[in-house]
Amino acid sequence: MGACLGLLNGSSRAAEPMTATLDSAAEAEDRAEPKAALELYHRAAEDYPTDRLARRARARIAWLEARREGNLVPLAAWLRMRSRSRTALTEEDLATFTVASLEFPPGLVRREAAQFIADTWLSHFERPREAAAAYARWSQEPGLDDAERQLAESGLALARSRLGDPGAALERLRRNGLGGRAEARFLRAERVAKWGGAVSIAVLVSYAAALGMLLLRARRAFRFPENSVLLLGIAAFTLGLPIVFVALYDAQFVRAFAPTMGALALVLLVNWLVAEATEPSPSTAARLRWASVGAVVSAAFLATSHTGMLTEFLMAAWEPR
Amino acid sequence: MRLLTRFSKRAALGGLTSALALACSSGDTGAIPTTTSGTGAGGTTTKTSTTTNSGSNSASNSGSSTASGSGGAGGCAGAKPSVFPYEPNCCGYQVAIPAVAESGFDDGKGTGKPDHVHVGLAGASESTFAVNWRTPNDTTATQLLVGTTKVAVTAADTASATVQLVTGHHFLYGSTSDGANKTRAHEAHVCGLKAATEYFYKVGGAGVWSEVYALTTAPPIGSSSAIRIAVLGDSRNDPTTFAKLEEAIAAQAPDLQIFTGDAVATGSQQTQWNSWFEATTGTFKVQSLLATTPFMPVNGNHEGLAINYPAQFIMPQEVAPNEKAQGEEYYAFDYGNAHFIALNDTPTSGATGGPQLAWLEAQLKGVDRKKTPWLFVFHHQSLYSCGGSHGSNLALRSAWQPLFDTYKVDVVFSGHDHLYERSKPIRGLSGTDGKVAVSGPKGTPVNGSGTLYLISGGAGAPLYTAKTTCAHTYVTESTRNYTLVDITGTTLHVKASRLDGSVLDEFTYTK
Repeated sequence: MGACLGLLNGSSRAAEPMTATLDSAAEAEDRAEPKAALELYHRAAEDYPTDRLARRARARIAWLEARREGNLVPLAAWLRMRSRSRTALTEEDLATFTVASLEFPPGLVRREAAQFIADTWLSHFERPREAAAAYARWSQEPGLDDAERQLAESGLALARSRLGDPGAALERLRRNGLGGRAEARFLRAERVAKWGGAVSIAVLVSYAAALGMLLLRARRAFRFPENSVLLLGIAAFTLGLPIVFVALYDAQFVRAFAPTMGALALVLLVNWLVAEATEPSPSTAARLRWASVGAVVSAAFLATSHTGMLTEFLMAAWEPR
Repeated sequence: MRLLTRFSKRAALGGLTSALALACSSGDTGAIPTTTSGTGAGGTTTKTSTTTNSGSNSASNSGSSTASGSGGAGGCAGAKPSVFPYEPNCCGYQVAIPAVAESGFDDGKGTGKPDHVHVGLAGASESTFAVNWRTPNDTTATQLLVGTTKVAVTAADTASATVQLVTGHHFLYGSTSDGANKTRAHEAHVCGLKAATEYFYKVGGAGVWSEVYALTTAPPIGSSSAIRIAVLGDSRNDPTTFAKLEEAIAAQAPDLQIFTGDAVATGSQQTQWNSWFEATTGTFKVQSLLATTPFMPVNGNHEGLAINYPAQFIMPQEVAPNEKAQGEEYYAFDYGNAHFIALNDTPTSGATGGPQLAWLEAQLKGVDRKKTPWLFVFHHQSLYSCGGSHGSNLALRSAWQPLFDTYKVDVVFSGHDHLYERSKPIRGLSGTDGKVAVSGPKGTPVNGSGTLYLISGGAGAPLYTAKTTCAHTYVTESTRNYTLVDITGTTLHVKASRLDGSVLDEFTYTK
């Protein structure tokens, strides 16, 4: 019976006043008044300790108390800044806040402000130089937890990569034991895409040149095939596969695979036409086949790279096991 | 394991107080009454047994026909179950498991320490919760101790006057990617609880228990009590970022988390799931939030309905012949005065027709908007996405939006594109283009003028580029993010935040 009474006591008090107090506390947080917010959360938790919403008050108290350094003055400044719309934020505002944050005593507020400053320089203002400096400062803050350290180092790597030194950025991540992080895999994938793209274009140009030379030496006039079965097959293949992909997945697959299928179809067609026109020797035909394979792979590489699928694929493939 | 009968999604949620009173007045010594009433209309998640309401979506709950798996003091009497599916602890719904070679019920054996402890909802949110955890493979003890005082639960090693023992089932699973490495999952369901009440629980078996976790049941269905829901998705590739977001969410003490899919990069690799469950910032463990706040996910293209996904999460089961994932790929539940519908959209071809579409329409039609005026849908692939790599899924839009329009869904949450994006209110289609409806301040609907489509998909996966060139887009940004949804009566307040804590998007509107 005692247990039953305990259960009945669980929500015996009306929740409305509790909700009103919590709303007032949240509004105080929004107004960047952490002292007032703390008082209200404490009042809610103490007046309604068994209310189901008491855990919300307790969670906010814990969050605010953990950021008490400087008698909550730095937190007030941080709350003001983080609730501002980014569209209204200027580089001058951020620079001013940066200077102010350097005066914050060491602690969570200072670290969170450092993250905000660095992320905003990089992703909003797209200023990698300022971002790199901010990430470097954040990474040196005392008391960073493991996630903060990883995020600061990763942000620094991305910023340095955008400054044109992805190799050094990757090397730093590796040295810090973060070679498996998404940013490291992203930088490696970008490098593969960059060099692979250059090689692919070279292969395609070589293939086109080889075809041109073969055609110049053509032994008989160029002609379209009479048998349309192959053409129909190629057309069905080219059009059909993207439809299957659309049905199964989404447009990203189509954007990646349609050019690949198109390249495959085109190469098959051109090879056939060239073979018909030039009657190449067996060794030339073999070289043409290998060049064709290279051309199709290159087209596939460029298409998947352009749609971002290559990066995704490589990042997944390099996922730490 | 497959059932041959579709379970009803409608539940009887009334009568809880009377059930409690009955348990108390009858001199029951158990701390927690474990019998829910079968009368009343209301919530939607408690399911009927296979012997009743076959194939229907009616609101009744006609009780159980199978045995209880409970032990300990009081509550629902009955023999231990021996076959799947079964009705756990007189919960009023059935539980099935994936097709596995080895499964069973608690036998108290083994001394392996539980980990990966996390909670979900399989029944009525105000009176039930369920816990899933992992142990070494040789441990088959599947027990849960629950009560309303932490001290009593901490001290208990078995049932007592103030602590109830609940037993559950376990099974060994592994996908082909896992090779010979199998994982032992355990699951226990706790029912007959009092609404809006804090409970303490631990899992394991005699002598080997997890730490004690606290969980608060939902307010009564239909009440105007404030609720807070956290939304995030696409954590794959980066458990550390996921942990950082979860830390920020934990500081807001949500009542519930909904996850828009793609928790891991390869759903069939248990090693990735292990990293996900064990994600930490160094000072905060994701486990601490997952074990105290129900986590309701959807299947993303990266889960791919691999066995690891349904094996590890608890969701209301909608079991029909030949369904995958023992009916957990789509489901619905009530929480407070909100109704949630979770849909599976992978592959798209299976989502635009078939049993799910019919089920969706029946669900939408059956929602009592007087009790649950707020109606939310969540799934993975966006109907409206301007940027990212994937863009809008037009096939899903054509199939689902007419239903969302007809039944005036308030917000549709999704992921898939790794960014944040919120649409203007959308109502109607012109070809495949959504018609932008009348909007109020900050792009909010006016008198239900349209549905908002919100993408929260940046919890760790590589970010995609955001674009603002679409007529339907109100706000978008390529950034790590999570969203908090606060509902108080007829007022909805949504705040999306970046990983660095700054506010990304915020709006409020009242019905």
